[in-house]
Amino acid sequence: MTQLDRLSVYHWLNAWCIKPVGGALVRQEPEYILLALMGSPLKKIMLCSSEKEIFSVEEQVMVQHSVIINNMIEDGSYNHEESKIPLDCVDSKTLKKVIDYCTHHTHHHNDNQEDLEAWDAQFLNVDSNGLYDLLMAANYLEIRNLLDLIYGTIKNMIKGKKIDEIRRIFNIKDHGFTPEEEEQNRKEYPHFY
Amino acid sequence: MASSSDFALSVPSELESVLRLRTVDYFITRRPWLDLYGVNVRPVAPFGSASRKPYVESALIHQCLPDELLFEVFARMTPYDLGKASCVCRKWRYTIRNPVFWRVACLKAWQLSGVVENYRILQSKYDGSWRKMWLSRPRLRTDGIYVSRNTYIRAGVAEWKITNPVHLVCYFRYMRFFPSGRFLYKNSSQKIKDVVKFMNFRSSKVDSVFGGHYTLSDDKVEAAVLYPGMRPTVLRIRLSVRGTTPGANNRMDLISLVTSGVNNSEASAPEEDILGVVEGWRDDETHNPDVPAVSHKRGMTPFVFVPFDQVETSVFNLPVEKMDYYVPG
Repeated sequence: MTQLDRLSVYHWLNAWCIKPVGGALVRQEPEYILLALMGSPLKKIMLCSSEKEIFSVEEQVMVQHSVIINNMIEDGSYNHEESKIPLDCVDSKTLKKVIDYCTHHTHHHNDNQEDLEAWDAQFLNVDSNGLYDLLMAANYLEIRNLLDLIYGTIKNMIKGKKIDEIRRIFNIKDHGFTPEEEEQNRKEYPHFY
Repeated sequence: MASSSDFALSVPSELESVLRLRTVDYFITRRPWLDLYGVNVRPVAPFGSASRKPYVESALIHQCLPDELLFEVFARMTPYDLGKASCVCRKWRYTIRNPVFWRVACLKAWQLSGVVENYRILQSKYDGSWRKMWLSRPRLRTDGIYVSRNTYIRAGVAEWKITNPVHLVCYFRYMRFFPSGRFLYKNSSQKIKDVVKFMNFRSSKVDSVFGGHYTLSDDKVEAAVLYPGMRPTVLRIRLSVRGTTPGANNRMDLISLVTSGVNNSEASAPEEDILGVVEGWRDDETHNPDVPAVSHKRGMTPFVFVPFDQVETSVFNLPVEKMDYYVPG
């Protein structure tokens, strides 16, 4: 059974947790049913932020989203009992957000598009600092859909806006052009300004 | 390194001869500045610039983000937005100078010519610079609709006090081009903001949107569209593309507009063959004696390009009385 199937079964069992025991229907914990059916509990992995804080996440969730972590687990270099994955480039606050994103998308991947997009928009309602930290974390962990989401957001900050607005949004106080160059730009491309 | 898989340049074998030119040296010469990738490169402003004093970076995006990630942001933008971004600040301008962006844009816009031919033109006419090709080579824009506004005066019916009424009638020719070689044509008096939602391939003949094929050589467009029906007619359009500013490509002049008849076998040929069917026809040629060839002399105003994001607010939506007759430049 593939990794992903286990997760779906887990959630299905969670919702319909009944198992006949001795003729009566008894509610069982899903982990034990999974254990009985497939012989291993739902795996969790440990991620360690740059501030040495440890986060415990379902393995399925991270493996599904992060290419780096998927490779690490598949390599077999990760020992579930002892190891933790050190992520020195990511601080705790950002790591928590990343984990939040991955968990939500794994658990709600069957939701309709609008709800997901609304959640994503709410998720990215952070200040610029947080946004760039998220971008670098997603880049480091190679989480494709989060990367696309953040690049799209930054692209929309540029698209459709005039140059002075863009400079204000990104706080580019000094554009670095000589006065003559700036004037020439304004003359050649007035529709940008 | 700023070479994600989207932009990996894998050269097909037929391009070997093309690359045996000075650009090949470009790849094997030592480039010490490649070691700077991953480091925040701060371009030094020229002498006259106001920023010559000790440089304090105010923009958060430049403090936090390595250059490769800025590259990725630009990789997802249209060439128009890239041009705009390169006017924002020096650092962005230098990042956008990277030929990768322009190569992708050029190969997509001129895909009809084919990759090998595009590389050949790159070397012979544009000095190996994709950016120069993008700015100077005529192209048909696909991010909007070309509109030609034509007017004529017709006599009205005399009413009680109005003895000699005239009506100013206004109709539009709409053309929307696609990079694959197809285009859509509509001739109607409806305003552009109402027409734009029909200018796609989901429309049928009921919306009177007709699809045809075109070719572009240099700045000359040859297009043909078949009007099906009881008396099938082919409309052959010849245009030349130009721009009000370099690279704008926002005007098309009508060189000729000819309707002629086609016979039944030609009418039932597959749509993509229409250009082949009419190739080499003279201006007065028609293949259906019931439908004479007509070369239109009126209603030949130049086409003006309206990008999609300006469709709602375009001056072409104004009613006849408020129209400004000097739009085509």
